[in-house]
Amino acid sequence: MSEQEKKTADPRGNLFETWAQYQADTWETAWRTAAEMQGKEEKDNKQESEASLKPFYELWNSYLSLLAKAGSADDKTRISSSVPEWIMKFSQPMWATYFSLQKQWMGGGSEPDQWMGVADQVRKATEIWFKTCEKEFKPILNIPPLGLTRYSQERFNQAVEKYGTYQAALTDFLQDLMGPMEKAFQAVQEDIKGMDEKNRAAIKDSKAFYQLWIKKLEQNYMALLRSPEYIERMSRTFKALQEFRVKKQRLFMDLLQDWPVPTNAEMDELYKDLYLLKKRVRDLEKKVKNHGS
Amino acid sequence: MAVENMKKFEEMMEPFKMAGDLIIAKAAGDSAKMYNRLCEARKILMGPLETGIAMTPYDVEYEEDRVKLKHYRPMVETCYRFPLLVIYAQVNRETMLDLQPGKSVVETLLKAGIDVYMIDWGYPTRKDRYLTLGDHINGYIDNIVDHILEKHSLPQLHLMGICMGGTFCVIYTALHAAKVKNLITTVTPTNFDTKDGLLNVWAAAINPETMVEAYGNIPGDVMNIAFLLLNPARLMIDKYVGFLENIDNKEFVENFIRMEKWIFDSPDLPGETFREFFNITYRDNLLIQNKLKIDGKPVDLKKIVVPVLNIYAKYDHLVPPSACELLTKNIGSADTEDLCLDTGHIGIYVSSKTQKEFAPKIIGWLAERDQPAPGSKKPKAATGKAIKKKAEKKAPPNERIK
Repeated sequence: MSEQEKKTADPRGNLFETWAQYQADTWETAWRTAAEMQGKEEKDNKQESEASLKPFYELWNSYLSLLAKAGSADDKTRISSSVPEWIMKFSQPMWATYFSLQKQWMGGGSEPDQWMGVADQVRKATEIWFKTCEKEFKPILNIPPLGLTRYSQERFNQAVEKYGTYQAALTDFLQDLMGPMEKAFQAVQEDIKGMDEKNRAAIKDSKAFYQLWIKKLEQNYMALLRSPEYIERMSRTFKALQEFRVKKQRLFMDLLQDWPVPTNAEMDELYKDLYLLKKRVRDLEKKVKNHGS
Repeated sequence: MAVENMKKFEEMMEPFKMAGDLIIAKAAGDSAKMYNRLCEARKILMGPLETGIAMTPYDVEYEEDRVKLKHYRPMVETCYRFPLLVIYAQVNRETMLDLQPGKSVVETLLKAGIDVYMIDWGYPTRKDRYLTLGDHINGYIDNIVDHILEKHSLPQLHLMGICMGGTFCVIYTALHAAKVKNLITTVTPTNFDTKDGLLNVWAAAINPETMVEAYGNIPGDVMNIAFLLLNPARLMIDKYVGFLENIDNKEFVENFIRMEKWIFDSPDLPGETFREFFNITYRDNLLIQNKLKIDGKPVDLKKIVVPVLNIYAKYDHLVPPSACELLTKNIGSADTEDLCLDTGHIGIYVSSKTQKEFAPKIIGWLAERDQPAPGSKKPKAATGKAIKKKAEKKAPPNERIK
């Protein structure tokens, strides 16, 4: 089969070669136009810029020529077909996560006859979301940074990671706090259901209803606030907030170093010196006073 | 699942329909009343309101760093020989004792002829983060006591502490017993081995070391959030519903705003003081066990041999009676009295009912133990009748637990 026949038989190869040729022509035109825009007075400069751009241009041109001319039709086919394959492989974990998320969300751990309150449903959805984030994004943030700015990157990544952890803990904690609201409404409904006609008539205005509800709410809160689960969630939220604050402060200290502003660490050092000096002076004053008297 | 849930929801709502109809019918009938109330509220809120707090006149007699000593101007002739120094907690402000003219503990004490001094701890800044308990007790408090004693040429004074300030007073009296004539502790926690108060229960979840690392000083608002969470239903909802219900009552609105001003006027707590205080109290409960050391010196409660009046509140969710009542059993004094009032942590100082019990009790108790100055009249005996009673009523819902 002649070269011309091969091109006709494999339209992908033809297309790729055309694209590669177009790229090469475009860069060449761009380089020449840029060079011509230089004035005669700047001849020396022009030569210098031409010299600096030439290796890059030549390298790029060789690469494209290699792709367009040197390979067989099979190579071209492999190149063009490997691109979508590569994308598919790369995106595979993301799709897997998405499907897992959807499965957990829609499938639900609860049985169909099990009543789930709104608070429980929201809690479950956010729990799945934050677990997924923890599994997928946290490892990315923990990849060791390289190079000159590795420490700055590390502090940035840590601040972002701790922010995520704090948001997850806070959401969980706030949902815990909202729980008694729903339970109080349910308890009021149960109470009214259990009342006889006479007692039910006593709930005749919004104030009586409110009094019943606030009483139930308080009872539910008192039960919640003493529960080990609540205390554990509160502890986790405090811990996450404090860790985020510390990382955030370190990140801000990096940023402040470029400004004529003292950082907290520098001021704390100064305050400590001042505190110790004042304490020594006071002790000495007392000693002198006692000695004098 | 959604269909099942909807069915359940409809079943639950079924008996509710009747009450709902009644409520809507009543609400429609009340709408005219509500409109009038809102018109009146508009006039009140946009008109002049008297909401000033800490109105009793005083002079600042001593200053050290951020700490000030207030000396209240006498309202009648001073008939007590020894002056009274009041030490408030570092959480919130001492203005609570002088919230409103006519309902002010300070005013009542002054009118009884007591010479009243009070410490204003000020607003700590980041430079105060290294201050320890020792700096406060053996430093600021001791310097202030020395200043007052020198001014009056007296060897002793009466000491009264509030909440955390009361704990400071107990420690101070154990360390400097010779300078204290009588000790009054009010809602003062000394025993932390109790699960009656939510703060004691939550203490296990708090790590003071990481808090100080993260914040430096502990922000007042962080503490405020914790206090609000002690009873969210009452303190974050019911309190403001009560306000809306009384929004057309000018006096109620003024009092409510005064209380709001005080509650959210929350200075930060010096980091090291918080860390040390939390560890010796909530974590290790050292004070009541006589194991505490301040600046390397042991704090021996048996060295407190002066008369002690210990007042606490039955409905105090922050410092429950079980946190207060062990003090008098563990000190060296033979002259002690416990008084449990039927109120909450703040109600003890501000409620109308306890205004008639709390300050008059202190006045009477001090009068019996204050040697009059040569040639002066003996102070009048107590007018309050508050002795231990069984409580029947709950603390007012509008009261802030702190």
